[in-house]
Amino acid sequence: MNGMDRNELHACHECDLLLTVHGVAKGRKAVCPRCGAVLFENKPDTINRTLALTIAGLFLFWPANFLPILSLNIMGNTSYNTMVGAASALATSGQFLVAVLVLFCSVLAPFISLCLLLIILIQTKLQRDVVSLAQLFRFYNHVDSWAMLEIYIIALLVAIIKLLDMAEVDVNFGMLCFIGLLITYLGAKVTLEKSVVWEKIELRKKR
Amino acid sequence: MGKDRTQKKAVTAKSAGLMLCRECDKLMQYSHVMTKGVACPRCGATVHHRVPQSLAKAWALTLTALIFLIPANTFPIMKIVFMGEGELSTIIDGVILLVHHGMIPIALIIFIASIAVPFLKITGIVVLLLSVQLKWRLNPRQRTTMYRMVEWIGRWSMIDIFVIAILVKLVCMGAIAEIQGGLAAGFFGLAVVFTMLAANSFDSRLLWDNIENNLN
Repeated sequence: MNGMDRNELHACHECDLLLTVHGVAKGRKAVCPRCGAVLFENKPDTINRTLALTIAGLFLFWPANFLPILSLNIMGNTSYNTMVGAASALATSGQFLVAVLVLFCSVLAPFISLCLLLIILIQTKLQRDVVSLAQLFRFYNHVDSWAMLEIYIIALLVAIIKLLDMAEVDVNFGMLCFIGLLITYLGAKVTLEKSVVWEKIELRKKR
Repeated sequence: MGKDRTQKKAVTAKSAGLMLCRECDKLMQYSHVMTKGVACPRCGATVHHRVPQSLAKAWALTLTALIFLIPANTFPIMKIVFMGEGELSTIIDGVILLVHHGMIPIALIIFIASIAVPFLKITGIVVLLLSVQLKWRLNPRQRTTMYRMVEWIGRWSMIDIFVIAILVKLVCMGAIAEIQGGLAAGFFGLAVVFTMLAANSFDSRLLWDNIENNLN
């Protein structure tokens, strides 16, 4: 059923300890006795739940990135901030390197991660044979480590507080969408058990 | 207590002639003939029993990050124009300004994320690298915890870069009020990227190999 209740040899990815794991109950995790690293967790219904959150995240992605998140009012002049706009404003002021970094970490990496997750999870459900699935999942793991939405929300709060004493700051609808995107994005990461996906990929290769 | 557990002769994948794929956690046979690594049968990544040249790579990336941190902290990170008067501000100026305005919690967040974390992180990686290289007899479990913290906290330094991006976009009213990014922002961004890469290239299994070799 969940592919995790077998006695199998494992090695800890953080300290290389070799161990056998005797079945992990639903909702529990296997932890390395030597270094404390989580080997894997038996997350209930991991593929369906992650897929649901991924789709929700993709729906929220567009309003979160293109609708104004904050607006600032200084003496009758109003300006808006969007996720993509913040990166492009840096580019127009000549800060190309920083602009690329901000665009990648706050917009591109989350978007690519969500798209990859959608493709990978749908394909594991459809049982279709796709050669590149392993490559896609590896790519996902790399890109995902550069997605920094949770840091962006703190940056938004810091920006609000910095501006408060100099002008009038308003929170717009985009902020709500951004918070929704953040919750679904982090939720998808929490519900995803990578070892289950890897096992499915391996099973498919053997057939 | 913890020491007893770690000092018992532990069987590692390496000592059992096995190796683990770092990308997909697949356990496979290791042959001593191979020196170039093999392709993982499951995910296709190149697998070695330990990351090759892990220490050298981590040193190089850490020192690069350290070099970038110097201009990042001395050059202005942004230019604030308010009512026609322009003012350049470095990272520490920003923190001091916040303290003057009485916003101690925010000043603390920025200070920790932008000044303390990058330096502490580099110190942390250097201590870990030295402990492996000089075979210091330190508790490997504590060092692993330290490694996890270094790995986790590094990305939070991006806060300041994001704040600048948001401020540059929002405050753009010409002579009335305008904020521009400064030279230091690019260096700071590079320093954050390089410390993240350094932490990533360090193979935490080396912390435990050390102990086993000492005991043999």
